[in-house]
Amino acid sequence: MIKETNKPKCALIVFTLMIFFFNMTFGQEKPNIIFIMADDLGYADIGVYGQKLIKTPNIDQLSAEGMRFTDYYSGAAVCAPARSVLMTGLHTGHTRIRGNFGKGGVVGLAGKQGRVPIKEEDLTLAEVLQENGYRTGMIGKWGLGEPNTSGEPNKKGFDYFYGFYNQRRAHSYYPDYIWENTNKVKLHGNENEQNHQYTHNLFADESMNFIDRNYQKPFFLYLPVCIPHSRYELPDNGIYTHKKGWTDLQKKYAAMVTRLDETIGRIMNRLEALGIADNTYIFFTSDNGPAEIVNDWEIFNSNGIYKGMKRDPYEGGIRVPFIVRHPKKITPGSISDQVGYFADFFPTILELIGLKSDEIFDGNSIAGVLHGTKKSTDVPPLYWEFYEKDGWRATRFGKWKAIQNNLHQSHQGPIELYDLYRDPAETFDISQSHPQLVEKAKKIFKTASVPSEHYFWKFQQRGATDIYNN
Amino acid sequence: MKVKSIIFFFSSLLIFSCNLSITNNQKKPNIVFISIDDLNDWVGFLGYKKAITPNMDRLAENGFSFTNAHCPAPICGPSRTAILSGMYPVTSGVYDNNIKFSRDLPNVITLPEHFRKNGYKVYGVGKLFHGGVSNVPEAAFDEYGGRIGSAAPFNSSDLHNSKQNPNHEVTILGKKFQLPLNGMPADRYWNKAHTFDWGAVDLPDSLFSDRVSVDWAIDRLDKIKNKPFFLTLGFERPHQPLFNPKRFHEMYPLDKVSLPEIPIDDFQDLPYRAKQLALYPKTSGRHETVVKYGQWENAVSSYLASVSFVDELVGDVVNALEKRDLMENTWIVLWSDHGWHLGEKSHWGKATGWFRSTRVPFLLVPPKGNTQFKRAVNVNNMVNLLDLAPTMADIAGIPKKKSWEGRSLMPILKQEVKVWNEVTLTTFSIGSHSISTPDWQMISYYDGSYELYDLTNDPDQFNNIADQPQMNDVINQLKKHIPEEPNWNYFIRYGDYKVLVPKKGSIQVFNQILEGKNDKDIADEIPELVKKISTYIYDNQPKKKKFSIDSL
Repeated sequence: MIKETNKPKCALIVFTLMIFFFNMTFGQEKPNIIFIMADDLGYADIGVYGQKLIKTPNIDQLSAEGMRFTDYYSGAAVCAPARSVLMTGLHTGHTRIRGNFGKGGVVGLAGKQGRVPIKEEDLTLAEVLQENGYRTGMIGKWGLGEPNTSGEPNKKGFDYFYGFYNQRRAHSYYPDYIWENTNKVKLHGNENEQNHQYTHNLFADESMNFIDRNYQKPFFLYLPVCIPHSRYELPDNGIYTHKKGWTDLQKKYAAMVTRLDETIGRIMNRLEALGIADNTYIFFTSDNGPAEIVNDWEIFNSNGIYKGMKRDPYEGGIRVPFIVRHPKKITPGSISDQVGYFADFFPTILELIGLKSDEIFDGNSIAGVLHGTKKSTDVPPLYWEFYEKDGWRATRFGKWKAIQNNLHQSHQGPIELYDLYRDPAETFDISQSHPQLVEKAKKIFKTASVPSEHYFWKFQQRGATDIYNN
Repeated sequence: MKVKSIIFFFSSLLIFSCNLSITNNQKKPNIVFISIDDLNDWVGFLGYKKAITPNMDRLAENGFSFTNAHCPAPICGPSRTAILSGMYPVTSGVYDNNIKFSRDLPNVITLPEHFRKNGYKVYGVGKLFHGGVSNVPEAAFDEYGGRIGSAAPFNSSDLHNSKQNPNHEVTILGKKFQLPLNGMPADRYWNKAHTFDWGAVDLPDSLFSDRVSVDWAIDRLDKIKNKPFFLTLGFERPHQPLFNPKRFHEMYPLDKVSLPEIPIDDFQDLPYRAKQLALYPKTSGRHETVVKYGQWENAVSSYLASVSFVDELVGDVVNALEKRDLMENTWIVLWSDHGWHLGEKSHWGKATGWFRSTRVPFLLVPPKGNTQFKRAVNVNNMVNLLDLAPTMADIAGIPKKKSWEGRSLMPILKQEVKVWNEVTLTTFSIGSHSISTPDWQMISYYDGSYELYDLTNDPDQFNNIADQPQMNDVINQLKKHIPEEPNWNYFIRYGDYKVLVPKKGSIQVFNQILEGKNDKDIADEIPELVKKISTYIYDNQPKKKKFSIDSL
């Protein structure tokens, strides 16, 4: 359902405009696509999603000029698999990378075993866009392959890559070097433990450069930034510097979110200045729920009314802010309760740029919802599986959500059931009084996943323990 | 000419006010802040003449005694946290003894720290904050003298539960003691230490913790320099174990002790939760054990001995102040963190909602040199120890913090009060509160049940009149003062289970009679029950926030 806050004055004009742009799409003017993804940003860390203390005026503006989704989910409850789902259009029961660590992975740059790279045969959205005349750039944290593996961004559809290969190094904000394609670029300002080159600032600058270089062609800029993930460090605490009664950590977290917000403001301004804002879809989201919180965080209430954090199957772990802006095609200030997740991104982009494909995705195109030509509809069940902690899987179908915990022990354990309309905070497990829905969830669980060669349930596979305990 | 004179007028005003503030600064009063642990209203100055407390009575004669003072919470941790943070338990979320300031309230500036920040030299010794020395916030004191614990001269190893049954012998300074002194087994066998014990310990005073604390405090008085001082002195007594030098026990011979009355049908008019609370030995021991071992008289005698020991030590502090001419400009503030049952309602200990738990002695004694205040005043207004923080700030003339929820008592001291809201709140667990007024006390349990007592005609709270129809108006008036506790959607009792349904997060379940573990959330251990409760709430969408479920 779309709630219109700004009603068009004349339906006819809108209709004519739509035809006009419809034509343009099939002319040379393919839309640009910018996908901005924060790291460990909670559902309610953003003003329009209920944040009271942290200022995010630019993201709020993005929402005022675009469509905001209330029931949207990441592909996973942690970094790497969320990114894998986004790039492949397949959920964690099908996509290559289903956890931060798996069997058959390589030793990462920080020395950790098990960084599974995405393979040649895994089709990515970037590859399709590249083949179809898009300039493709990725700036930020990749997570889908180490250097000299099949998973290098340059091998998986990106003309340009600037940032980090994996999670570990990405979370120092003043590293010695950074990758530009397959080259290490030394950051001289950070040598000898100096802190002069803040990676987020570099990402913001490189994003501007990428847009400047490519704005005359259609481009796809994938910008998975690293803030506000730990470590909590940045050049200054900005508007929070003199905030009374806040701890330094609180100031830093808020300042990192606001800094991200400023970057989004910069990008919007640049698009306006270059005259391409009207032909660009900007997506904004987060890769999973807020990080496991230290006490300091409680004042922000990052997960809003929801239960759980990053790594949890509950709403707080996977429900994310999701905003899309295209001034000419999306009703400004609209709000959608369409249920969806990262697996939608691939098919959505294909539809937005008018490409037909035989590929089978786990997600569904939300292009119609974005353009207001379709009301929000029931979609096939959403599915997540997760191998860290005790292992869990979850599904959302309609207003229902089913969760099964302790998968490393057994797949026969109890299934929790929640009614997200009546009980969005997932307080009341009603599995006992709704056996038919539990049966339905069991069926979904049974068929949703294809066993992986990299990720195992401990009770099924000896040796799997080593992977998850490293 | 006109302009000039106005300027002159203003500048003289300025000079005048500058002078004023300087003289005020110079005259900032010292404060001796005395807290006593588990002292109920058995003190002379509150009319309990059996207690021998001449020194505290003398303080009352020189200042204000609040006869209707109640604690914010009837257990050490939340009470002291509320007093020192200035916030109600329902605001701070600190409802039980599992409190660590640095973890739970890291941003809160405590009362002593607030005084430090406002030009006071702040000393502390003994038990002011709940818990061990590591729980004392670093910024609280300029100098902290530590605490030895209420068991001294015995140490915690001597009181270890495993050693108590059968009795064992401990030798100190060549003297032999059979522990436990009262010969009773531990009702709270799950605790490390067995402290439900009492008796005379014929050893020098200097081995007892409170004596050590007082000596430390008096030493500080010799080091006082220019700054005004704020000296906090936290007595361990009369918290159990009730061990005191022999002479204090001899003040209360067993054949002259009078015991609290327990009517035969005492439990008849109590709600289910009240009976549960009375019989579970949460903070002390069981009444039936005390009776079985014939120790009731001895317990009362020993409790009063502890009170008299504290009283003697309070007298020493006052004498030390007098000797150093410090009384002229020193306020003495004395309070107890909550009361204590000695068999009333068949209960021993605290953490209940009844008067014996919630009412506390509370004295404010102005400096001798301050002629502004009347002396020997019994204040009958309803006050709460939460009022301490703003009152202390007004006494010292330093700023009050916005987060403080109490009321300054200064208008009462100055006798400027015209209207005073005569009601006060004590929170004794999540969802359970006592509302006290001069005439009534209503005890509201988390499961929606409640008691009402007419304090004028029934000060011992023998007759719960909540069920009498003519009391409806009173009850409805009092109910308005029950705090909302917005973090929870429901408080439910199902049999012996307490179920908390938070706005956000998982359902918590506590088995209220599970010995030693009644504070532990056992929801994970009984998933079937949690599901039944979930289904019940989902299906019924209860309108009431507090209720009990008879069957599922």
